[in-house]
Amino acid sequence: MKLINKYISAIVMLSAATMGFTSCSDDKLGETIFPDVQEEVDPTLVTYKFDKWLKENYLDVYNLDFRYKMQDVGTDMNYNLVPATFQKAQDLALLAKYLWFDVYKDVVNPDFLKQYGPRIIHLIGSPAYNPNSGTMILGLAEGGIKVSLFRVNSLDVNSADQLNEYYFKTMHHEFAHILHQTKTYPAKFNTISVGKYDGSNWQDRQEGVVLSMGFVTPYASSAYREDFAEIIANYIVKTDAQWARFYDLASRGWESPSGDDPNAVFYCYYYYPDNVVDEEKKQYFSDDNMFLDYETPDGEVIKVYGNKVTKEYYRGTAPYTQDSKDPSKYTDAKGRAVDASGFLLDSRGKLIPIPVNAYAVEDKDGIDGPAALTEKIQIAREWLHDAFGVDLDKLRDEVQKRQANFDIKELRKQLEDVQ
Amino acid sequence: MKKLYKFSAFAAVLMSASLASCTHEEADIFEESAANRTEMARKAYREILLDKGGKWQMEYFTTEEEHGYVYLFTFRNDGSVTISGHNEYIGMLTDPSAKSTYGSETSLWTILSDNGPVLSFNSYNNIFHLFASPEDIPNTERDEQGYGHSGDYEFDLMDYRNDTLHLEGKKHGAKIIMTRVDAAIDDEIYMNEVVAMADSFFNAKIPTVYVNLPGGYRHIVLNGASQLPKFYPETGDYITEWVGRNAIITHDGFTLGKPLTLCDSIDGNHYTVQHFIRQDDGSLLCTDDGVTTITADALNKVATDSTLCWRFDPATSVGELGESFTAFTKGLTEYNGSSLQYMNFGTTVIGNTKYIKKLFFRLKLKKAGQYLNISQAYEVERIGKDQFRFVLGEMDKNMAQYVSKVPAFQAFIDKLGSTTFKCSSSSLLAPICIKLADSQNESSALYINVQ
Repeated sequence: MKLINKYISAIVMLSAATMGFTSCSDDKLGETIFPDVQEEVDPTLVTYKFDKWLKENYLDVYNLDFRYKMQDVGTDMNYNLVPATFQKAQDLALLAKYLWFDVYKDVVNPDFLKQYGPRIIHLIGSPAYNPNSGTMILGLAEGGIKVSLFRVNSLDVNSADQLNEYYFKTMHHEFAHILHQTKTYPAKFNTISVGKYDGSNWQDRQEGVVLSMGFVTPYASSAYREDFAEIIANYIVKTDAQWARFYDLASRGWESPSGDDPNAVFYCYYYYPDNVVDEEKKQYFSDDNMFLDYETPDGEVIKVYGNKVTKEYYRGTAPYTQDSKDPSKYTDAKGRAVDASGFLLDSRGKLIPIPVNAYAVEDKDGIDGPAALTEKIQIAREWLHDAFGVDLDKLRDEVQKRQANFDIKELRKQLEDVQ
Repeated sequence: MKKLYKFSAFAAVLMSASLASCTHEEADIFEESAANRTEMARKAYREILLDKGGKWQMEYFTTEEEHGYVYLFTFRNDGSVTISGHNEYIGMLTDPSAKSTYGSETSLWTILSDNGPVLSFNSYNNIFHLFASPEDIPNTERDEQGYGHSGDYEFDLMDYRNDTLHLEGKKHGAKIIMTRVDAAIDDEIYMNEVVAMADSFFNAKIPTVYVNLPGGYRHIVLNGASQLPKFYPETGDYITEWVGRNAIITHDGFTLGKPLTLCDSIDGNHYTVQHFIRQDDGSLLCTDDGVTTITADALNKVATDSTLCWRFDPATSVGELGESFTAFTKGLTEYNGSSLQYMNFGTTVIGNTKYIKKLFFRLKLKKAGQYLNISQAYEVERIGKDQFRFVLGEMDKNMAQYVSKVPAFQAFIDKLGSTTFKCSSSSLLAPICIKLADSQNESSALYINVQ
């Protein structure tokens, strides 16, 4: 009986299921409800030359939709954003090709960006401001597909530093995101600065302080993945001189008169007024131009705070000798001019004030900033090579060369020549 | 067996569900798919915008805290649009010293298919997108960075009829009206006329104007010149009863950002007003009911308002009154070389709190490089809505001296005291210049300008 029941049940269930699967079999897919989309560039439009250039250089080659006509719906509606101007959009499209796509084509291989490059680049005229935190978004990479570049209306093709900081770096930063969204970077990277990230207050951190912690920028200290994208982007676009400065700042100690308050201002030098060591009167500064070498009358080179002096003067070395021919003149044991009281005199016969000593803040954070930076670059270098066959250093050399030498007027001719 | 029933019941439910899924759908309400209908609407609106030369006036609003701005758009088939405006923020960007500046720039436009057709100005235009930009506008008191002015540049196209488009800001939701204008107009001339219109509507020197409701009750309008007017009942309490609106002054009239309902305490009705057009007499007529107007007070009240200071204009005065004025000024010179610098009247002409709320004629004379002020008190007697006469009071000693020595001066004062003046002005809303004609002989008139 149990067996019969099972069979009956099975037959009933099978019938029901069959009906369920087949019941809609007569539904047929109709034609698409969406109208045909015009794929050809419209020659009647004022934007024709640019549209055609974009098609030939981005869409046809990289299957990339370069969106310069902003649609608010394609952005985060929580931000107040505006479109890019037509002229700035053209310039950035040309620069992105020259400094990003062409570099990978020449240095890696022509198919690299076809495979890994974004499918959409969306230009936005303004930054995405976060008024509450005082931060702004310069770029976004979404799901390995779309890169949004902000602040396009501030593009100044005559300012290399501005182009570098706000656009080129952003392009490589966002592309680094796309790459690590495609192939994960080594977990070891996340261990280098573990416990030092601050997703909420990174914008209040100072450049020198974060460098000494092993982050290339304050934003890099916001999260692992941003750290990874920032180290690659900065390594590629920043010059040797800029990197030398990074390592210099990274090697310094930083201290704040307000203790460890992350919002406080940190300094790398300090002094005591009149050289009287009193921690309550300790003064801080960070200006390298005020941290000077000074040679004392005894030939010792010390660090001093600018031209600030104490109320004290240098003494000569006893015994002092009165000049037999001119009793108003004295010399010390080393033959240097002194006054009657034994104070040293300079070539003009003036007393020599003792300068205010200056000191570099001791690096006590327990982090070797330069080593951390170097290790991060090395991990990125190996990961790019192993995962994608990209030589980071060759890439950097090519970008550096192009950044230093591009001619926007020459690049614009590409658009003028479109037929 | 119980198990068999359970299985059977479950199977029956499953079958019912399967069968239910095959219920035939209802016939389509629309012949075309939603996407095709949106596309058709998109094309239709594109044709509308490009039709008849493609020139439109937009009444552009951002938030309710900000007045509206007039813009002109010239749409072209090649995807370009020229946008022209004349406002203080364009000035901030181009010429910080200018109060309001004209600007015009060409950028791109399109109509997108979203949930419906969307008019999008999708490349940045310095003249127009400044209200949507999150960047700080230099030389303004407020810090716009991050917030901007909450202006839209993408608009849902809601309705079209009679050359008027109704739009709604896609992000911030402001209701926007676009009206077709003659394609032949010159943008700069048109925008200059809008600014001139704004100056003629409300004038800060005439601080109080009224909404005159059909039943006869009035509501006071404050700050009309700022286009952020406040309304409160004439017999009410400003502190507790004022209602504010943002507004826009266009080429033809004055529009509130959203409707305003006011109570007429005389007939007990409520009237909703929003759109006003300029009349030939300078007043504003509400097009929503065709009756309500906005004007200043009756002209004989404005001319005799105890809070205003008026100055006689000898250059434009005509007829007997004009001649009398000219004669007395000549007489002053002949008497002792004095020249009349000006003759004012109203309460504020004497900056002395002792005389506050007391009305005076005040004349400033110049003689041999020295100045002398002389004055005479007066009161007014109003007749109807447009007439009044001066009831002359005591002169100060200096004035009495001059009047006694200069017969033409005496004659002019006598004329002032004996004439019933009939008031008229080219603008009932901003009567900053009023003609005071002799009610018996209107070709004889003095002109006065508010100070």
